[in-house]
Amino acid sequence: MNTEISNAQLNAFIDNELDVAEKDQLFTRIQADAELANQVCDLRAVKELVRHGYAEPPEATHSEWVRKFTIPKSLAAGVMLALGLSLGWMMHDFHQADNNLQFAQNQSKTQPNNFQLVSLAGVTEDTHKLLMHIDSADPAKFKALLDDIDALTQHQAALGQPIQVEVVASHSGLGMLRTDVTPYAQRISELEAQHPNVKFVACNQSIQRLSKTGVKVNLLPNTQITPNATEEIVHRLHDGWSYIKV
Amino acid sequence: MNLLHLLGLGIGTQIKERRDRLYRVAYAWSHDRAMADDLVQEALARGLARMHQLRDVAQLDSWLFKILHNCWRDCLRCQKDFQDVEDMEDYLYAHDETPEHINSRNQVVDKVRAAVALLPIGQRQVLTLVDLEEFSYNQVADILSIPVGTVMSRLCRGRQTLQNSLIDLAPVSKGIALRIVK
Repeated sequence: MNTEISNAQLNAFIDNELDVAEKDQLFTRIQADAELANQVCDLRAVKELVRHGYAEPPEATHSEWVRKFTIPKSLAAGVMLALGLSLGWMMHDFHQADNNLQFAQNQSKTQPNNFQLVSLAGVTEDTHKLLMHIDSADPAKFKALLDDIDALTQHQAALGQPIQVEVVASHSGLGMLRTDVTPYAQRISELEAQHPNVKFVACNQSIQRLSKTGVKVNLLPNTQITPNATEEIVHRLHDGWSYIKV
Repeated sequence: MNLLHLLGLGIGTQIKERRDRLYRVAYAWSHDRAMADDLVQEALARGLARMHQLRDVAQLDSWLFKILHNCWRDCLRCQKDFQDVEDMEDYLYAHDETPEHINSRNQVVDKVRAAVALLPIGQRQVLTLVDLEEFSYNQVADILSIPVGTVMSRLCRGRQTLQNSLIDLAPVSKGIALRIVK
């Protein structure tokens, strides 16, 4: 009975987290110890104050702010990646792209937990097919990306193992492929001319989103369009491509 | 087939009915009306889209708040370009001084909100989930994906801080006399 009562115990007490025996014990202690009683009282008061403080939160105001995170890039990509990988395991000979999505939907209905615990271990990398994903408007990243592709293609060519590279641009990364925005139009077209294995793909969803805000999207001449960047990534992963997020 | 399917129609409505409570907690986390509203909107949208993933209807509350927590983390990531949200939750003080604090220091509500706003986000989340929503420590641990021990320690630290800054406001202040004597 002489054990010190910890702050955590007092908190658990006021939050009703203790079992009956512990509670009884504490009640006895509190009755005998005025200081302890005061501590409990203070903690209760704090709890009450917090409840009081948010009893009537101010009314919501709407903003445009939501656009910044309604499509959380990393999350969406992560979930799709996990989904894509798990699909890859489960259905080696299920090639049709359209069916994939259908299957994914059915799958998530029947096995809600298959998003978890997808292991990357054992996934063999195919270094000859590389998917690079850019979703940032940072010109430094554009440059780094192009530099990397240059270096890679040259390196692989020297080895006699040509590499296939696909650059998927979504969100702000779309700027890299827009004629009126990109600082690298010339360089990209040169790259494409030199290396037929390098292609640039724009996410149609991002294009639509921009168009809705009144922005006219003009893409570089050879740019291809995919309906949705994450879907593209999933399909590529399914086909054994390596994925690099720039 | 399963129970959820039978209740399927009702769940959507139940999710929407949680809006006010989600908003209250989202506001307590962000102290930004627009942001809180957006968070709730996003959480509801995700919740409705993933209704079929909810196995146990009894878990609806903690499931929804878990989604809200995920939205909040996504939102923090987008805002700050933080790589490690874990670190931030422990150490980041979102506001040095809140608008509430500046504008109306005299009101209890504002003082409480200002004090809560000064708590590190991790502590603020635990505290509001326990105090406002009365989730058990286990549920909070599950919602925030942290160990129960962390819930308890964040709660202790959070309450301690609030106690120091707010106790003068408490209606019954017997404790204060004793503390002053001490």
